Order: sequence, then C-alpha cells, then structure tokens
Amino acid sequence: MSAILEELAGLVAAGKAKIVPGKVQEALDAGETPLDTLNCMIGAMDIVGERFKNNEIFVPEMLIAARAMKKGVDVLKPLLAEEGGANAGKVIIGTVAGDLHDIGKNLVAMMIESAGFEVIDLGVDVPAEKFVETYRENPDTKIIACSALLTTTMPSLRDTVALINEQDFRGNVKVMIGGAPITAEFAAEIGADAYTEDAASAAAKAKELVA
Amino acid sequence: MSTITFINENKTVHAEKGENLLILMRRAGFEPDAPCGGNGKCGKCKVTLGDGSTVLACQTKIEGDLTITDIHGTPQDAQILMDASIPEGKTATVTETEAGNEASEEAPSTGPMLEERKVFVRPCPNGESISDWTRFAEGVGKNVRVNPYVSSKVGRMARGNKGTVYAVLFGGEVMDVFPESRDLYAAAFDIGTTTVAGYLLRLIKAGEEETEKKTEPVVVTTDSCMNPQAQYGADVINRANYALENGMEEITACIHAAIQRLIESMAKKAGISTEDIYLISVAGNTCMHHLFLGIDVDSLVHAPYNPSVSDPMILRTSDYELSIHPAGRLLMLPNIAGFVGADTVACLVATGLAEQDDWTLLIDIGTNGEMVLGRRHNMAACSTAAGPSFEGAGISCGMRGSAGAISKVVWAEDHWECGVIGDGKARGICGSGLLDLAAELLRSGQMDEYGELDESPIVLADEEHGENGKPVTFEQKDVRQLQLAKAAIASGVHLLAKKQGIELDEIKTVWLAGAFGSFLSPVSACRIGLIPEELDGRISAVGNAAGEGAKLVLMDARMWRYARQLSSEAGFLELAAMPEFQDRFVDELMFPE
Repeated sequence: MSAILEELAGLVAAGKAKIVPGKVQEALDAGETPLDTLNCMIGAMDIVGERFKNNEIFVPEMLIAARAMKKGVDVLKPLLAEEGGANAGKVIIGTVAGDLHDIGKNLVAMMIESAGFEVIDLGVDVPAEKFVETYRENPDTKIIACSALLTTTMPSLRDTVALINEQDFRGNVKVMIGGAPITAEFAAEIGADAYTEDAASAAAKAKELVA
Repeated sequence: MSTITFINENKTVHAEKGENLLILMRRAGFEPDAPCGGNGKCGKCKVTLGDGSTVLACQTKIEGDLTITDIHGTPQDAQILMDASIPEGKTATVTETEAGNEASEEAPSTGPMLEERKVFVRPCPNGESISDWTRFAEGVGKNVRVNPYVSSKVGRMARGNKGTVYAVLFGGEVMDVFPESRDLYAAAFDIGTTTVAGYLLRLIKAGEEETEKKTEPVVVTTDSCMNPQAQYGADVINRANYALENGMEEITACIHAAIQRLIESMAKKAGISTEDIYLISVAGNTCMHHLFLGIDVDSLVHAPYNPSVSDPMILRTSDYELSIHPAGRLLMLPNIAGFVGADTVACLVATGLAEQDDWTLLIDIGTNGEMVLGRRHNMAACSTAAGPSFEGAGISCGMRGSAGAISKVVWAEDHWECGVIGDGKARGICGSGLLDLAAELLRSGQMDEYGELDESPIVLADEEHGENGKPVTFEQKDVRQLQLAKAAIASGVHLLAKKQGIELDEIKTVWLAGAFGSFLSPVSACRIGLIPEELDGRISAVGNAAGEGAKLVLMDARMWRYARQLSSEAGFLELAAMPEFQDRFVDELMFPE
C-alpha cells in the first residue's frame, strides 16, 4: 500500500473525520484509484471492527471511526458510481416501527457498507410493510436487517419479522436483527436468521450469510 | 403444584409448573434486582440452587420442587436528596395569562390550596323549614357545592356549638366541618424512577382563622424510600414494558402502597391522624405519572413517544387506594412530553426559570437527563438518553452514591486520593467520583482527548483500602461508558441552544437539579465536557427542585395554575428526530483538549 493510503487508513481508524476527506482527495490526486482508496478505508474499518470484537476498543471509538469513514466515502461515492465498485449484494436496514433510536443501526449500516454491501437505509420508525415493499422494489436484496433499541419495541420487531416470514420471497433473503435488549434466543423465537451482539460482528455475519 | 424453598429467607412458596422464577420471587415479596426487567440481559437476578448451580431467575421456569440457597442481588440503595436550595430572588412571580387564569372552582385563587372558614350557621326559625345545608352555605359566604356528608353532620354540630362550625374548603368544595379550628395538612411527593421523596406540610395552623396573623405553610416532616417498582426494571422503558406485557395492576399497586406507607410514617412522626391530611400532590417523570395513575403507557414508549395525558389533574385519593381524609384530593402536576414530565414542570415552578431575564439552563442529570433552556417564558425542553452510568451501572466498579462509594478523586502527582462516602473502606465509585477521576486523568495527561488511558486498569483503592479486600479499579471500557453518557447530555445542551438560536456563551446560569447534580463537582463536569466548558463558573445546584415544586403547588394555589401554564408554554425538542444529532453526539464523545 502506498504511503498516502497507509496514512489514510490510520486517520480513518483514529476517527479524524475533519482530515479524512482531504486525505482521500490527496490520494486520488496522487493517482490512487477510487476503488483502491475505498478498499484502503474498508481495511481500516475491518481492523477497527476486529479490535472492537477483541474488547480493545468500544462503541465510542467505533462511532468516531465510522463517521470518519463515512466522510471519506462521501468524496468517493460519485466516482465509484461511475466505476461500479465491488458489491457483495444489497442490504435493507432500518429501525422498526415505534423506535426512533438509530445510532446503533447507523453503525451497523456503516460496517456492512464497509464490508462491501450496498446499503438501503430506510431510517427510523419503519413500518413492517415498508421493509417488504422495499424488498419487492429490490429483489436482488440479500439481507434485511431490523433493529429495536427499546424493550418496548421488541414486539414491533417480532411483527416485522413475522410479516417478512410470510412472504413468498422469504427463501431468497436472510433476516438479521439487533439492538440492546435483543438476544439470540429472541431471534430464534421470532424466526430471524441471525442476531449479533455488535456492529462489527454484524458485518462479519452478513458476509457469512451471503457466502 | 411445586414447592419452592428459599433457605436464607426461610420462606416456602407454592408455584404452578411453568411459572417464571423471577415473577414468583416478586410475588413472594422479595423485590429481586432485575434492572433489565427480566429480559435475560443484565445478569443481576442470579440465584444459587440447592444443587450448587447458579441460574438467572428470569430465565428459569419452574419444573418441580426447587431449593434456592442464595439470592445474589437486591436493588442497591441510593442517597435520597430531600432539600432544595433555590437561589434567592429567583422564585416565580406568577403572571396570570389566559392559560393560568381560567376560573377554577376546584382550587382557591390565592394562598394555600386549603382554606379554613369559621362559619356561623343561623338557627332555622320556627315555622320555616330551611335545610341545615342552606343555612350553612349562607354562612360560608361563597358558592359551595352541596355535599351530603357535610349536611348530615353540620346541623347537629352547629346546634351543639352555639351555631359556629369550622369548614375545611378546597375551592368550592366543603371537605369537612369541625366544631373547632384545626391544623390542616397536605403531603407532597416527588416520585423518581429510583427514589421517592415525601413531605408532610401543615398548610393551615389552628386558631388563626379570626386573627390577622397568618402562619406560612411549613414542612412538618419528611420521609423517603426506594421506588419499589425497581424490581420490575431499573429504567422507565423496562417498567413500561412490564406494564404492557403484564398489565398495570401490580406495578401501580406497589407504588400506591409505598406512598401510603410514607403517608402513615410521616403522620406518625408528626403525631397526627392520616385523616388530617386533605391533599396530596405528585410530581414524577411522565412514565412514573402514568404508572401511578394506571394510565396506558403504550404511546409513551413507541415513537413519537407522546404522553397519554399531559394536563394537570385533580382526582379523588379514594380512587387510588390512598387513605387520607375521606374527601381527600390528589393533585397530579402536568407533563410536558413523553420524556419530559411533571418532575421537570415542578422544577420550573420551584426555580422560576421562566421569569429569568438571561438565558438559563436547568438540567436534571439522571438516566434520562431532562433539560430546559429558556428565559422570559420562552422555554425549550429535551430529554437525553444518558443511561445509568452516573448511577454506577455498566461501570466495572460502579455503584450509586451511598456508603462506601468513592465520591471525590484527586490525583496527588504520584497517587490517587479518594474521598469515600461514610469514610469507611471503598466499595466502588459513584457518578461524582467518575467525573472527578476523568477530569484528573485529563489534567494530569494520563488520558487523551479520545479517552485513551495511558494504563488500564487504574487502581483507586487497593486490597488494603477496598471493602472485603477487594480493590476498586477503573478500566478503559469504563471511560467509554462515561463518554456515551457525557456525550448524550452535552449534545442535548448544544442542540437546545441551537433550537433557541443562541451561542452557549449566552447562557448565563446553569441549575443542576437532583441528587447527582448536587454532589458532582461543576469544575469536573466542565473539564470533561459533560457541561460545555463555556458554562464553567455559572453552575449551581438547586437540590430536589421537583420536590420543592410539588410542595409549592399545595402551599400557593397560584403555583398550581402556574404549573399548568409552564407545561403548555414549554416547547419540546425530540433529539432523536434531528438529523444533526448523531454528528453532534459523536463530536461530544471526545473530551475537551
């Protein structure tokens, strides 16, 4: 990896959101391709995710790094669209109806995006029907990911997964769930395919599910 | 039917097959610790079984006879702050606006909420048949609603007392009549998620009806307890969830019982009968408010998180299993929003924030850090999800601010000097200790602005100074928890300022309400950016302002109307719905350089 990309990877991992966009531009100006630049940042986030899983770093550092990554990706996006970058598949993500809390969901979205997926983020307070509708508009979607932060929106998560489970396309898509009060038992109980503890494992799990 | 034996507690309970062990323990009256509400997440409801194995009670279904040798956790005690310290000259001057001025038959226009009147009931002339009530009502000298209980006793009482009776009035309601002047009492309650504070007030002193002298209402005694709803979950979400899944009955009944116990203990301390208490006022967050009244909490905990009811209410205590005077009334202070409740309104009443000429920020730092930024009746409020870190939850050696907690920390150039509550051995570290510690770590360069510690864990109290030979330590992951909590509060302050269109520097005064706000060091809070550094030197603690507000609405009827006015004037800002919230939150995760 070139010196400038190594520097960029360091800045992303350290969460220097203000400097990262300039450094991305600098890398491009120095002749790096948008795809290599993106992969460099993805590599940095992979390391961040790995350190998170090993309990070396925690949620705040993840958030800080993820934001830096996002600022960098914003610079690359128009260029990558032209090039048609690497794509592990589409993921539809959102917090379920009744839940407005999206910091965790955003983190998962960024980690999954870093893992090479194209993310369709439906935002917060997403009705169950919206997940289904969005899948119908994007039948090449590989994963639907739903989150609930509050204990009180767990029933809403249950209803959302139930509706997805009724659909004829259910065999073609994996359903992942997450959120503070969620457990693997709950995921099994409501018929989701996977639950992960945190954003880094979610990205790894997503890759595993579509492999 | 299975038999469950609790060895330590020396208690045997019968259970249906399939019953959940945690629910059984609640039913048996153990108040088990279950901050997560029995979701299998927090691991606090551990019990040891007869075979030596340890299980989570909430995840255990009863299959047959069972022996429990040890219940591991019970909810921790917390320090309960009773007093308020409102800066002088800042109290409210009520402006009677339209909202506050509506004619209310239910409350008097001014002075204490209760009124005593000496009433002369003229005898019924022979040859006429004017009812006792009519002649009594004439004597009262204001419009009162007819009341069968009073009319049944007032005639005979007047005849035996030369025509004179003393009436206890609540607005247009005659609550009772007596042959002599009496002390009249009321009780105010601040129902917090964790603790409950009660105040017994004498509103009217006996024998002053005819004199010029009017003794101001006084607090006669106080009492407090932990909120027994804690066994259903540590925070409002888990409580609400319990109510949604299992119905309101249990969770509502247990807070009524707690309030009744406080009423009885305060009456006993004051040497009065509970029937001498005529009014009860209640301030609590919106969830506590709804759970107290048995009002559905569904809308409260699903976006957009609106309350079922916000209006102030005057209800009959007899409808809420509260036993005071039979005609007793329950005054529920109004809410602002789903997560900004009557406790915040009570703080506004007590502090007079709306009357300030300069921008003033009120913060109640707790699991939900509610805050209001305003001046001159222009107020914006929000609630921030700070989480329970300041109460010690999620911190490796964290605890609430009770005996054994490290509450003050100073780096003495080569070692840590810790102040411990109760001056005994250290058992853990509480919120104010955490703030000091983080501030000192930053000052001495042992932690950088990203929260990276030079070394982890840090030993605050070694085996020798820790209780039971257990050291008190602080780890890297604890810094991260603190960062999340701190960022939540600080983002709230920034976004409220933005909403009001002002720079932080324009905020001239910061009032910290609640127990934590009273014990923390403002300097440390600013050093770590919990409260923006610009506000350093402008911070003062106002103590239990919610309790103060609950008292004030009883002591001065104008304050009751003022509460209604404030609750409708205050605007609400939903941080989670603001697109810039996450960016601001991530910014605030970092410590000031």
